[in-house]
This record gives sequence, structure tokens and C-alpha cells, in this order.
Amino acid sequence: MNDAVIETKQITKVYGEQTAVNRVDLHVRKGRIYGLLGRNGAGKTTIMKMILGLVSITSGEADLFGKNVKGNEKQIYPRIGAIIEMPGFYPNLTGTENLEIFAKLRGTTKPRAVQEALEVVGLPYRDKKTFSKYSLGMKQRLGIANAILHDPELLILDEPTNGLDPIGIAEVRSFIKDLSVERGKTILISSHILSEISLLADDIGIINNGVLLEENSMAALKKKNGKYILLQVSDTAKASLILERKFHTKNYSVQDAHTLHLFDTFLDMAAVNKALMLEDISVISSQLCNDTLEDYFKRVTGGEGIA
Amino acid sequence: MLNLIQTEFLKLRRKNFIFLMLISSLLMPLLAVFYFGAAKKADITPMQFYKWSAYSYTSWIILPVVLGILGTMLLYDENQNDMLKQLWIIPISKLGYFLSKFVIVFLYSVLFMMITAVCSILAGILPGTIPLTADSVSYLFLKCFEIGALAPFAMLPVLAVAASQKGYILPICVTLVYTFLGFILLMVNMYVHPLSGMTAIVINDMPDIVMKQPIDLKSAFLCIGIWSIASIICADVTLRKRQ
Amino acid sequence: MNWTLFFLVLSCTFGCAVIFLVTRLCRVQEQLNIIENALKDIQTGNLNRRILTRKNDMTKSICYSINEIAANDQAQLIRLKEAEQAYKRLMTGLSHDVKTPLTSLVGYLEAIQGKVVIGEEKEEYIGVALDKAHHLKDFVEDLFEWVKLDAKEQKFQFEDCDLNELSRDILADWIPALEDRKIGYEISIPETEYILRLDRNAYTRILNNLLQNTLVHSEASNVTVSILENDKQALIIVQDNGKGISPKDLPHIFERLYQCDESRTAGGNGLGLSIVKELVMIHGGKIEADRPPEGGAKFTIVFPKAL
Repeated sequence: MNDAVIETKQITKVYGEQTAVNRVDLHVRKGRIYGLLGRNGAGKTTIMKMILGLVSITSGEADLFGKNVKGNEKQIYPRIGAIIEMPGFYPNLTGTENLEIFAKLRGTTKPRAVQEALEVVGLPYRDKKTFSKYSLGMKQRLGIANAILHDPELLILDEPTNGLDPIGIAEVRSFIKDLSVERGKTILISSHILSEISLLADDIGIINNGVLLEENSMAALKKKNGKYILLQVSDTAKASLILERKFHTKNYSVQDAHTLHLFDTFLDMAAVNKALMLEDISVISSQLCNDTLEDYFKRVTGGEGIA
Repeated sequence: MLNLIQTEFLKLRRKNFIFLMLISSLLMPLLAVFYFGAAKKADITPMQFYKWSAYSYTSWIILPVVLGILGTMLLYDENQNDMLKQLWIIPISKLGYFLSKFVIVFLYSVLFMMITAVCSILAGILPGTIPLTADSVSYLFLKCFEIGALAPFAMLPVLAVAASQKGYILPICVTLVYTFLGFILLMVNMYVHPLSGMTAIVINDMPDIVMKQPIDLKSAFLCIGIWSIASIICADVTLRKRQ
Repeated sequence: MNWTLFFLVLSCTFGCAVIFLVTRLCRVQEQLNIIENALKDIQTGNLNRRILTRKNDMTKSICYSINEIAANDQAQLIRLKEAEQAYKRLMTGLSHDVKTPLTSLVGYLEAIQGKVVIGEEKEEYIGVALDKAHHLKDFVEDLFEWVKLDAKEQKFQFEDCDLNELSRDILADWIPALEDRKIGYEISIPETEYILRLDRNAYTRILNNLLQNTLVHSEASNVTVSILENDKQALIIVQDNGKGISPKDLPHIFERLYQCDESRTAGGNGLGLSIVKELVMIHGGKIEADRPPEGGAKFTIVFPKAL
């Protein structure tokens, strides 16, 4: 079964001479949070706009729910909530009035949608304050409220924590996580902050200069990363005995019949190998895994790293 | 569509400038009071008074300028606040969006002329300049409605320019140039410019008006129609393209 | 003239009415199409699908009901999935926590059987092996208890007993162990009688697990146990001056099999605190852990007086 909610095939955007997005294949799977990571200007917003059909695609195709957006707007858009760049609203209206306009235009899924959306993001209902007097954080919150107003299946959030204070960021993060975990929403989120993506995303796409460098699941990445010595030996029981007796460490764990993770990375690997060999244990491989996520991204993006 | 128009009304909340602009409808009736008051003529017919206070400069210049500014404001606001992308993904059709703005302009225009009519009557009767006759009043309302209903169509080209531009300076300039051009062309060729075409339609059954050209309703309507349709198509195309 | 005008106006109004009714009809038709599509989608399992409806739609209440049904089903499905996932996590963690000590136990036993070690060293090996076996046994017992708790199978016998006296009795048994490890202790329990409805065994388990946790993990040199009571609730505070709990771990320490130390080497098994939490909750109480400014770790249990 193909459970991709968003699928792009080699989408490319050329502005004049400049290629902003170059042959990007994105796969956002149902019920997962997809983190699009890249520096400012890497092409994240352009990709999202192309997916939404707000920007024409120079070449390639973008499918939402297995359908091309062009020509299916009426069926597709109501199932999406989005924040692209800084969300704009009518400055002369209050937050509630703004949302009521969108609710009227778009329709809602339940009678008290506006009130509930505002409650979720922590803004007052029927407040007197007009949007023009909102702080940056409140504006961003209203944007999120608008994106979830119609309880969409898919959320496309472009840097949703921009302009929020640290507490607000944590709130929005846990709220996005809840949307995915508790309500099964599919979420495409972009950010230039590695820690934010690594805390939220199930899948991750790294974009640099308009090129998608890597697409992988977070679980796979986390498995790869961590500080330990990976030992593959013929007999884990014997090996564990040697580790305990000779190297006085209990800091290891047995993964399966032939694999050990040794967490004391300061141990001399050569000495460990030698000691194991002396006891007639064949060491199939031993390697130091010493990669943090940051290191990994630095390598993928070609040394410069991401914020 | 009805839904779109309703939301357009909601968007106008707390926009005082739009209501302030309605005050400009008082301008000509007030001037008329002073003008005819100073003239001290005894036998002023209601027709003469209303011609001054409602049919002339109000319809030639004030109303078009006000409508131009209004249209620009309506379209500029959403552009300025970067809202269009949020509207497109609702989705809203570009044509529906443009037409809903036009409906607002239309209703505003009719309202404007109705106020003008009421003020003209008051300005004529209260100082006792003209008598109150049923004929003249019903004629005044009919003409004001005609002007109010036709002017928005004649102003569609300006609305289309406003829809295609991000800024407000160009549309405002276009409004002024367009309005004065319409005024000037009135004396040259009435059937080129929608505004002068509109004037032709309005004055076609008015007595005591001499124009250079004979009044031809068909070509006047044709002129307005062609310009309107062309503007709507233009607006739709540019809104689609501008991404 | 007047009659023609009259008819003109009349036909205009009539035309408007017809247009209005036709648009209403079209809208209903459109909505029915949308509903049909959405229902098909929901039928094939996409419980995230919602139908958007406007306040003036005739189909409004049908749409609201469909949405509600879908949302409720979705919530239920997600709860089930979550339970399944938690179970999976438990099993993974479990295999891990059993495998490592078991492997090393085998290592020791093989060495003894293969006569690799003799004499005093052999005795030592047997001792270590026995320790490991005990540890495993404890773990399995804890696990069973926890599973029983989680499945709500365990029966409790609530009876009125004096919290203060019971606590004193339990703590008395701990004093030798504390003195053994040269850990200072301060116990402040009111002399008065304070009657609560408790399950004696469960309460004993709670205090034991908390103190065990402190002993094994905290590296503290001093432990304070104090009970504060008023006519609404009783507060039991266990505080140490050890290394404390890092903010990263704090939200998770009551989760099953969560261990602060990634390598899982310290004596615990990650079940103790989750058992405590389950037991406290069965008593209608609350437990909180935090980092007091003076350092160390602080566990606070709140039992309501009226049960």
C-alpha cells in the first residue's frame, strides 16, 4: 500500500537564471512528522509552496493524497492546513474575527471550531485586541490556529516556531507532537534548527542549496548515532566475561547472539580485540561508533553544518 | 459567491476611512447651496439644482475617484498583508475573489449616490431654494441609481489594475488619470472611455444639455461592456499568473 | 409606464429568488458529492478525513455528526495503537534487560564448568554468577508485579491504618542497610495517629522502592524522609543530597523501563519507580519528582485523606 500523503517527483523551480529547487523527491508518509531541515534560503519554503500549488513548478510533479493539485484544488485544499512564511491576517480585525472569516470561507468540522482552535494555541476567544496590535508570537499562534481550524489531515508548517519565545517554542513543539501522536495527523514541518527537527520528526529530509541531500527515518539515524564500540564476536557470553574480568566494566549491552555494544569508549580497542582473541573468541568486527547527529548533518551538508 | 461577499463585509469592520469617504458625497449638495444661494435667482427649477448637486461633478469626478480609492484599498490590503496565499489554499477562485470585491464597490457606489440624492433634496428644500415635487424627486433617485450602478462598471479597469499590482501608488495614479481622461474625452469622443460613456447614458433624457455628439445609447453600453469584460478577463489572468 | 416598471421590478425580484434557490440547490448537490467521497475514504480506513461545512449549509448537522463519529473512532484506534506500541517497547526493552545479564551469567558459568578458573577465583565466579542470577530473579519478579498492576489484575486490601506507625515500621527495617553504606538519615514523622485507607503491602512497596532507588542511583550521603499531614492530605517526602535527576530525564523517570543511564548498567531495572507510580495512583494519590535548588532529588507523594 502506498501511504505517501505528499509525493514529489523531481520537482524543480527555476527563477530566471537561478535554480531554487533542484530535482527534489519528497515522500511524506501518512501519520508521520516529516522534518525538512535546511538553512535559510535552502529552498524549504519554495518546496512547500510548490507542493501547495502557490508557486508554479518548473518541471516535475507534486502529488497530494495521490492526486495532482492542479485541477483538484477543491478536493485537496480542504484537507490541508498550512502556514507559509509569516502568516498574514486582517490587521483591522481581532483574532476571533479573522478566524471567523476563514471558518466562513472554508467551512468547519464542528460548531465551535473557532473557539476550540484558539483555546488550543492559547489565545483568548472574543478578545478586543486587533491583529495589528498582536506580538510576533501571538501572530504566529493565530497562524497555527488557522491552520488547524478545519481539523485537516495534513499540516504543512513552514518554520512554525519563528518569532516565539523559548517557552512558546516548547509549547508549540509538544502541541505538534500531540497532533501527530494523539490525532494521527500527517505533518510536514520545516526548520533551520537541528534540535527542533530531531525532537519532533519521525522522518527527516535535509536540503541544501535546493537539493535534497538525504531522506531517512529518524529512528534509523538515531540507531546510527551514539557513542559506543560495536563488537561482533563469535561468543557473546565469553566476551562479556572477559569484559567484566579483564576490563572491569559492566558498561555494555548484548544486542543479539553475536553483537555487543560497549559504552566505555575510552577503552583501548586494540587491547580489547587482543584479549578476546587470546581467549579463542573470533572478533568479526569492532568499530567505534562515535557519531552525533550534528556530526552527521555536517557530513551530509558538506562540512558547514546547519545552525 | 454569496458567502464570499458576506466575508467581504466582515473584512470592512473598523475601516473608518471607507465611511469617511462617504462624506465626500455631501460636497456637491453643499456647494450647490452656496452657489444658488449666492446667485439669488428666484426661479430655480429642481432639475437645475439637482443637475448641479448630483449629476455633474459628483458623477464625473468625485464618485470615480472615491471608487478607485476604495477598490485599491480593498485589493491592496490583502496583498500588503500577504494574505492571498492563505486565501488561494482555501480554495477561492480568483475570479470569485475579484468579483466579490467588485460587488462591494458596486454596493458602495449605489449607497454613495443614494446619500447624494438625499443630501441634494435636503440641501435644496431646507434653505427653500427649490420646491419639493414628486416628479423631480423620483427622477433624482432614478438618475442617482443609474449613476451608482454604472460607475462601478466603468471603474472596472482601475480595479483590474489594482488587482494586478502589489502597491497602491500605481492604482491611485491610474484612478486620477483615468477619471480626468474620462472627463476630457466627454467633449471629444464619448464612446471611447467608459466614464464618458456612462455620462452619455445618464444624460440621454435630460433636457437642456448639448453635447458635441448625438447621444447613442447602444455604443455607450457597448463601450462600457467591452471595457468591463476585458478588465475582468485581465484581472483573472493576472491573478492566476501572479504567484 | 408605471406598470411596466412594476413588472420589471417584479421579474427582477423573481429572477433573483430563482438564482438564489438554484445556487442553494447546487451547493447541496456539491456537499452531497463531498460527503459521498469522504465517506468512501473513511470506509477504506482513513479516519482522519473530515467534511467541511458552513454555518448556512443545509447538510450542516449531518456533516458534524459524521465528523464526530470519525474523530471518535480515530481516537479509539490511536489509543489501541499506542498501547500496542508501548507493549512493543516493553518487549524490546525487556529482551535487552534480560539478555545482557543472562549472557554474562552464561559466560561465568561456562568458565566455571570449563575449569578455566579454579580455587578461590572459582568461588568468586560462583558468587558473581549467583548475584547476577538474583538480580535477574528480582527483575523478573518486579516485571510480573508491574504487568499485574498494569493489567489491573492485582487485588488490593484497603484497610484503615496509621500512616505514621506503618511508615516508622518500614523505615526501621532500612536503618541497618543505610548504616551499612554509611548513609546518614533523618526521619521526621509526627508522633500522632493519622488514619488512612491503605493497602499495607502496597504502601510498604512504595517506600521500599523509593529508598532502594535512592540507595542505588543517587550516590547520596544523606537521606531525609518526612511526613507532613493536615486534615485534607498527607505528604510523604523522600529527599537525598545525591547527584539528582537531570532535567532531560525528569519527565520520563516514571515511565516503565526508563533508565537515565543509557547503558543500563546501574543496579536498577527501570521498573521500580513505575511500580511506585502505579501503586500511588491506585491509592488515589500523586507522586512527583523534582530537583530542589539545594541539590539532590526529591520525591513527593500526596495521599488524599478521604478515600
